[in-house]
Amino acid sequence: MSDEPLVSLENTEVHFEEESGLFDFSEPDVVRAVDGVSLDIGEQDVVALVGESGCGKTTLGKTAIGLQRPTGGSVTYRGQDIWDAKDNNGDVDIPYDDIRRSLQIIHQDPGSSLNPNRRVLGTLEAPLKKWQPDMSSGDRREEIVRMLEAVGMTPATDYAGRYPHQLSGGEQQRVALIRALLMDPDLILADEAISALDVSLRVDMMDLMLELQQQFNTSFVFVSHDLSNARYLASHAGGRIGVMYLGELIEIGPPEQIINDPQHPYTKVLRWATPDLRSTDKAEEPPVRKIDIPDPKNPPSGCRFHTRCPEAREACKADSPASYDQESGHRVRCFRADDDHDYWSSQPVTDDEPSAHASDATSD
Amino acid sequence: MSTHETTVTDGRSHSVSDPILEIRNAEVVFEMDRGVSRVLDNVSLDIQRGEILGIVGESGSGKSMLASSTLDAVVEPGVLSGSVTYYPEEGDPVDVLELSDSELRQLRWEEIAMVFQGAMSSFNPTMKIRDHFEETLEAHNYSLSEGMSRAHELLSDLYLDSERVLDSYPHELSGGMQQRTLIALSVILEPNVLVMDEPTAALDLLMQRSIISLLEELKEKYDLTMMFITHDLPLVAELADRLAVMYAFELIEQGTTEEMLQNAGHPYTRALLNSTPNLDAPLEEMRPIPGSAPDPVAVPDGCSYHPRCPLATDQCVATDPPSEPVTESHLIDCHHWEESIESIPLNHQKEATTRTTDEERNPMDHQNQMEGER
Repeated sequence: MSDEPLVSLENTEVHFEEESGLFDFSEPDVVRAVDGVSLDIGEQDVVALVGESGCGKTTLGKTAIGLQRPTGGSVTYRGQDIWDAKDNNGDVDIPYDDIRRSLQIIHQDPGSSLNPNRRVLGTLEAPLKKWQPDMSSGDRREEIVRMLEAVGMTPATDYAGRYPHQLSGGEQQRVALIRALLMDPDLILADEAISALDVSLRVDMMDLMLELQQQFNTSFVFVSHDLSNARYLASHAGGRIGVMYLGELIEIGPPEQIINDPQHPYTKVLRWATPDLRSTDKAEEPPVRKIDIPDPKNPPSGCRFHTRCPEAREACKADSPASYDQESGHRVRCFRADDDHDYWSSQPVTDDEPSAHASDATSD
Repeated sequence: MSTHETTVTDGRSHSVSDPILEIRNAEVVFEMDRGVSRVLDNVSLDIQRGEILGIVGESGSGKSMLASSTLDAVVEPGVLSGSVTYYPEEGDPVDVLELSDSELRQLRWEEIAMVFQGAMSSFNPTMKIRDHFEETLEAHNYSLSEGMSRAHELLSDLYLDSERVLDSYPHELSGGMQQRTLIALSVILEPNVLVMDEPTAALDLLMQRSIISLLEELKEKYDLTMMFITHDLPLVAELADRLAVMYAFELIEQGTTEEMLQNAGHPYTRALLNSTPNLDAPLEEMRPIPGSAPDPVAVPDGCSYHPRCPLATDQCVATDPPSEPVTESHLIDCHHWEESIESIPLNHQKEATTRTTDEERNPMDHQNQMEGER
């Protein structure tokens, strides 16, 4: 990793306003998809973002590659603010087109991210035509065949002539991966890129991504709801795992630390939620007080996890925890990381209903 | 455990002493332009009263077809043959495939209920949840007041705020809430059997695991028999008493969860166990299964797994292996199951042993040879 990060997010916020009716003059609902996240992504770095659906991991990923404009904070690419470049604001060192090309995405569903009426060759030629207009069509084909072979799709000329429906899910996802790589990007956002694949093919796809990451010196932001896949990818690449909850990055650090020594109670919950073949014990009660996520339009005060957290105390209701640095780049947003915090002297939070069966919904 | 006297030749296991459902030689075929597509191939299976049976298979292995078959719900133009027998607690056995439409309507939901994947498409988006419950109760001539108080209880058993959920439209609930509501709706008529087809797919792991632990409670409280169909072996392993694995539209192995995890005999089951990323397993040892599942129109001759199998021999190409009873409860459809247990180590069994991975890679070389022969 060089000194200057490839992409740097500083105190980034993405708030979505829910549209209200024409004559509805009340305050619109605001969904805080990403709130106060700071994150540096280096060269050849891998960051795996995990969390439940609606926690903002995809929005954060899209913000990092300049597909989503932040409503607060900044996103910079090699020191250049991405949205200043887009708006031609101030001195633009790196033109927006270059930034756009350098930051690519692979979507979750390969079937719908490929044009069904285009052969593989046509799909893969398009980005080359746009970004390298001087390339001859022979060279283009050669390059595409070379890439198809690199991802194990042989005979490559046969695959180049196929339509997406003639490919399996894993092959479709490989084509999407090649399409992103042909841009020679610095960073690829893989948004649940393996979730749609069969279990037995996932490791294969991750291996391929790791191999190409080495070969092309690309960084990856890997969005997943599955901690074991995130660990596989981040460990192999020497990257980090970031855990998100209701728009906040609550813990980030080296994979083995996140898995074996999670600091945030929510990370421990995710650890519990990951099935393990070694223990065939019957499923225990979930280590949360409520199993449903609160409404992101109206997130809880203080630490957002306090409504479900088994360790919550009164102090958690009042203030949002700062980010506490642990060793080797491990950061956590929980008062329990601070031995001197008032948390330790405040009362545990008790639920009004002893059963705790009522879900989040009653509280609004 | 008391056992039947019958010999194990028809794919049933001895350990099922009191079956609630008995599936024999179930077969589903679709006539297609490209040829006949056999999407369920001679499946025989018993479901023990009061057990949780996990059916595991990858996409396109025929597992959903098996679920539809148990309720004679295979969609046109698919043709189902074989037999499905339901044994009620009292009274005569019911031949499910011979029932009239009205009898079938009664059997479904009142005796055997089903939960499908994707709750949103199971609800009517224009009706409140309460109306779904009331309509179901009325259609089956159940008492509304009794039924609705049961609905309240079921919903709170599933950690839902029953009053609020009943007053909501389906889209107002989160995915996890919808799926739990659907489970409550499916057991509102007090069925004996609950068949669930990927009931937790498309949900977060946390919600999946929570639902798994709730299902366990539900099963105890309402005395249910459950058939849980999924692609996720580790998930169902925690819940199920027995596991059955499907590959290429056939059942290839079944046994108690313990037997299947510790002593799986079919190379496919072992490969499936090893391909699952695991938080504790050493990283180098997770390995994908080479090759891909066969086309239903052209399933390979002999053992359908032979083109992908590291242990395949001429025998596997020539003859489809019969179900071999290894123990009373453990059936394996493989000619070489003993060799398989010996030569394919299971990642999750190795604790701190450090082994060279080269030795394990060896069986994979056969794979390439087999590919060459095809």
